[in-house]
Amino acid sequence: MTLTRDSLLAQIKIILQEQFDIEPDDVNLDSRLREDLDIDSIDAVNLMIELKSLTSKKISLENFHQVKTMSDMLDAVLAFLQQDKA
Amino acid sequence: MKLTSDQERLLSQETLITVPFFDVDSMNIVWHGHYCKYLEVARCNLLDKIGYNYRDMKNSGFMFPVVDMQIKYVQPLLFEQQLRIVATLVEWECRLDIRYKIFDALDNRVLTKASTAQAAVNASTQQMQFACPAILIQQVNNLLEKS
Repeated sequence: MTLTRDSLLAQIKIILQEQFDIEPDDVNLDSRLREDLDIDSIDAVNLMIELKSLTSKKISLENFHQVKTMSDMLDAVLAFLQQDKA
Repeated sequence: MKLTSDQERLLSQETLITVPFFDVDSMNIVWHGHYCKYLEVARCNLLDKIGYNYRDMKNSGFMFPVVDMQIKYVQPLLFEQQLRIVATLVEWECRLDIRYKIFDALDNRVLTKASTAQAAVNASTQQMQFACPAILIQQVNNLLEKS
């Protein structure tokens, strides 16, 4: 399955709703994970585990500490998948 | 990851415990706060089976603090009751997640369902990791190859 930026955002919105009761309409590219969405580091690992089942790949984002916004997250996940493919 | 029944068996470990007097309240029922100690005993046995116990974690430069725990108290645990705790590893790539079921060892009734999540923390930087150390993943893969 090839993930585009848009389809990944849509999938993440579904996960955020299911896992953390975050309304999809409240999530946009500029949403700050910690301040706006109240996602802590433990939640972030939950998200990673969900993404893993979505992409059938272990998403290992060692630089996740630098991810501040939803846009950063999409960049990081897509970069990881791209690099994994190469 | 969905485990096959063979894999689940390989990633599970049973522990037998008899409820001691010092854990029960005035109704002869285990006080809810003591359950996590039984889970810890079961978890240590499972980690020994996997070949990555707390000592191995320390030697590899990581700590695995519990960051989340859920316990469903389906039936009470009673003084002197013999318990069979089955601990199963369900996630080991991003985090160490374990599910538990506590059964009555004599009649096999399910008494408790629980889960814990442990995050890898680099001991020297104290920073939480978003992926488990390779040594843990390797130990689990070695175990799974036996299926």
